[in-house]
Amino acid sequence: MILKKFKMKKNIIKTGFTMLMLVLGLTFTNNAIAKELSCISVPIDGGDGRGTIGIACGYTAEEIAQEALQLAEAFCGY
Amino acid sequence: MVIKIVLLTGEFPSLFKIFEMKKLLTLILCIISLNALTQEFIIADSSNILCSYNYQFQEDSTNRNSLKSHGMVLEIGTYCSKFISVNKLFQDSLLFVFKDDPIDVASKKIIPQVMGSRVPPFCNYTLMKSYPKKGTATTTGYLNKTHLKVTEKQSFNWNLIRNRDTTILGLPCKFATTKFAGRTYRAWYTLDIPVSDGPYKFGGLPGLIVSIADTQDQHRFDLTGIEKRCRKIFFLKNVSVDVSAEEYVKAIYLNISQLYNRIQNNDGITPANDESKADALNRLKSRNNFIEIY
Repeated sequence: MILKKFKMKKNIIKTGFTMLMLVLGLTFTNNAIAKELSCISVPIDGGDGRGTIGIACGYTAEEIAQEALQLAEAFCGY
Repeated sequence: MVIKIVLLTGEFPSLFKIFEMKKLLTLILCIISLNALTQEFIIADSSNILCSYNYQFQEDSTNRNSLKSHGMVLEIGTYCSKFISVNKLFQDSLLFVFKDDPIDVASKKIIPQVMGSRVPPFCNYTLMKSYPKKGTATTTGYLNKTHLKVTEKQSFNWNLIRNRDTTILGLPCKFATTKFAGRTYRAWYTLDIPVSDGPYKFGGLPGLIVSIADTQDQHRFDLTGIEKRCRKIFFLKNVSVDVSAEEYVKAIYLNISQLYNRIQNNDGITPANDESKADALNRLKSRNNFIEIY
């Protein structure tokens, strides 16, 4: 009886651990692949200031555009 | 990484006995990962009326000569309204057009087009007011590399003033005053357009706000045009962090100061010369007068 209970407990822990690893793995894989595939360098011409968005990895097109505009605004105004 | 996961799952044969299961899991992981790259849109409503406003604002609270103006648009639908910068609307439209392109391709197409139509940092937000559950305004903005969202219950305490009627753009207007976020405002609204809405977060009057300005005239919205046009009211879907209005304002100033530091330390930015660097720093320093004061 005690052995049965111990086995059940062991199984629950095992399943819980697997699920946890799976969730962590899913999250990490998702971010890692997303960043790797979208890692680009966008040249920014802010008029008098030029730069590249080196932090573009894993960013959406909207976020890249926002970063670019921010730089252009600082150098050229609006 | 996917391979790693599959190997990891292999350590627990009790749960993943069938090999096909691993294949399926790998496929799901790939699909989820690819989905994370696309920009999603939510079509919330269709507009019935389109109102154009000129927003004039004093960027530096200490300098009256720092007056700037920018075109804003209020799209009024049946279930919601959207208030946005004209240039930001253009930018969002481009994102919508190139939404199925890979990010590097989309960015290279979009950025050159939006460079000439910049959005002032104090206008770089999207504001949605929901109908018929009136009184809820949601502001979203991208600041400090994070999408922020402010959801507020709107309860303006309007003081309707009689016998101060006037005509603006051919519309008979009535006068009202209110206090909002550290400033006192004077507003002109028209009963001819029975829409309880207006520029920015303002609303709650028996008609559309035609003109509104604070008593120091540092922030002013004037209606410049109105047309009946049916077009989709859409929003970009992003994972946002909920913040209060006060935190949002703090984030705006933090964003400005972070850019200031990046330019000062040449952090990924190469100014053409010292003069252009100094100009940019001065420009950023003078941005200290957002519409909301806390």
